[in-house]
Amino acid sequence: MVAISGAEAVRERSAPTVVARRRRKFNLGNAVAYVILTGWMLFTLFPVAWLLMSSVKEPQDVFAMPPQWVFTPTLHNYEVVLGLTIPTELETVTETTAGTGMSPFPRFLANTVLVAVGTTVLALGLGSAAAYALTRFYPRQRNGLLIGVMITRLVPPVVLIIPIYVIWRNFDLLDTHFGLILAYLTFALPFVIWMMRGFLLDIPVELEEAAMIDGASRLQALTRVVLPLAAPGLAATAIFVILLAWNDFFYALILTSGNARTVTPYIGGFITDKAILWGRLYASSAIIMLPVLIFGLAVQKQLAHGLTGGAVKG
Amino acid sequence: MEMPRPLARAVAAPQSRGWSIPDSWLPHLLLGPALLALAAVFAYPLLYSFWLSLNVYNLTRPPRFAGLDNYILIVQDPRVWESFAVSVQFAAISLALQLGLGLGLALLLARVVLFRGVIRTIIIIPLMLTPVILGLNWRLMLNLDWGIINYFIRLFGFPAINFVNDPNWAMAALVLVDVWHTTSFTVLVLSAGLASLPEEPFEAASIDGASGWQMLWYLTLPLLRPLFLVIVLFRSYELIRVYDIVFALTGGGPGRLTETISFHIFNRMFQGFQIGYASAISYVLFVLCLVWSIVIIKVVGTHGSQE
Repeated sequence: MVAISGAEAVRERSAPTVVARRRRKFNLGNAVAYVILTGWMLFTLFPVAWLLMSSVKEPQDVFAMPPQWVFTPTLHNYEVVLGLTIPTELETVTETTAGTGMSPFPRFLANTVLVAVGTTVLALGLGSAAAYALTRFYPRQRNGLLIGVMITRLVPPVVLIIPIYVIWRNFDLLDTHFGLILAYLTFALPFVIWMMRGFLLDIPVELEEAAMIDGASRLQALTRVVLPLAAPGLAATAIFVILLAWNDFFYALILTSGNARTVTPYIGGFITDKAILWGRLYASSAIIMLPVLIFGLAVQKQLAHGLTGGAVKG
Repeated sequence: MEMPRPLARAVAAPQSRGWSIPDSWLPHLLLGPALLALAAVFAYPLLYSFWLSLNVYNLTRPPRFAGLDNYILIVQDPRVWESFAVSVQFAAISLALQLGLGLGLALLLARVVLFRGVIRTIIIIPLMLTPVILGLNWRLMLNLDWGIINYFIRLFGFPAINFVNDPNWAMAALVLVDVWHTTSFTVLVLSAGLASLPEEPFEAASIDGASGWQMLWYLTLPLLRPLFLVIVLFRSYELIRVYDIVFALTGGGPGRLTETISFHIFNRMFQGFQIGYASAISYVLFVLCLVWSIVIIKVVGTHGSQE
């Protein structure tokens, strides 16, 4: 079914437009296409909608069976998570980490933001400078260096985390923001180099040469000519790095415990069959997901390009 | 850009051209810091890890050199190979489903005109979400007693399924979540490919009376082949390193049925503190990944030269 409609899509695209337009009046294949796509959209959206809906239910209604479809939304879960309200006694008793009763979420959220921003600034600064050097200089060493950068992207995180944990432990970097930022450079820096190289290759060298003929130094040509032209690329790359750092769970789980702990391992700690905490899990998740969605949609045009590190233009 | 101020001034100052060293320094000043950073977070840890893999080390006592003992141990350790098998099984099933579903959805998406942008945006939403969160969300949705999925299953008169704890269903649950999460990656990449297909071969083929099926099979799919390889390369990497979703959904269980290789190494490391042994397994994983990517890139390369 799917393949038939797809084949017809190909035919229709190549057919003269008049014919195509007449056929579009009613077309069974098109109707089927919309039905299937709608089905997939429902499949896509339902878990997200369910999460958001559950986050505004009363704690005891979250796991009610049969599920409540109509209810009065409440911000109780959000207030508890953000530390605006002391949780009701029922919740405090069942929470294993109950002590102060106040939610540690705001502090962890601040850590997430701090680490994501720190990673982005550092990776973008180091990486785009290197990317520029690898598009304009080092003609002979360039390919070797780029392959080297490529190989770093092929190292699974679990391979790196063991030595990084031991080394960070020796250097007292465990559970520090800087330690986590350094660990994030393992994926952020190669990513930025490859992404920015793609953007910088699109900027004609002639512009810089013209500036230098007019008396600008190499550095001035870089800062006054290349940098403004590369700004959209820098912005898109920055958003991708923020997303990568924001969504990380693996490194944060291992390298942080209290001081620099980010939100994802905290949310991961909700794994418990004590259903009573679900409301807070949902509210925390919704708060984390919102910026990710906004940022993600902002770069959706470059998404294929970004997710493949420049391998696909799109 | 991120250069320390004094350096930037030193480079910018000599416009007199009397002292031309800074301009020739610029490339090194640009590239050097990044290479140093990569050396610090990649080269050093990887070398250190290799040294660790030759030792018996549990963090409390100093490392004891053991030569290749850890590697010999791996060969005889069925748990390691079972985990590799779990990872390969998970990656293969998931990837096959994503390629099939992704191709179908991309072709449908290329066909529709009205609302195409909106549909595309909605389809790619899961791709952006935090993996550990969506894993937990699915875990709760698949819960035996209170999960919404089992509510629907009961509603239609079927017995509830213990997705996460039933040996027959745990892997399926994992695949389901991954398909939900990342099928849109395939859609995205193939859509980009479909949009840039040349029109001439299709016109020629339709003049020659080729059917839609024939054009799909003999034109569209071969033209998309480089993109399929890109998808296979990127997805297989993500699938082999998958950790967050396993952690959130099944925790490697029931038993060790969904204990992927990343999960296995992690457990060796942080539950058993078998640092040396875990390093050795991770090195084997690294080498296998390198070999796999060389194979894929070779395939891409030969294909490219044929074109």
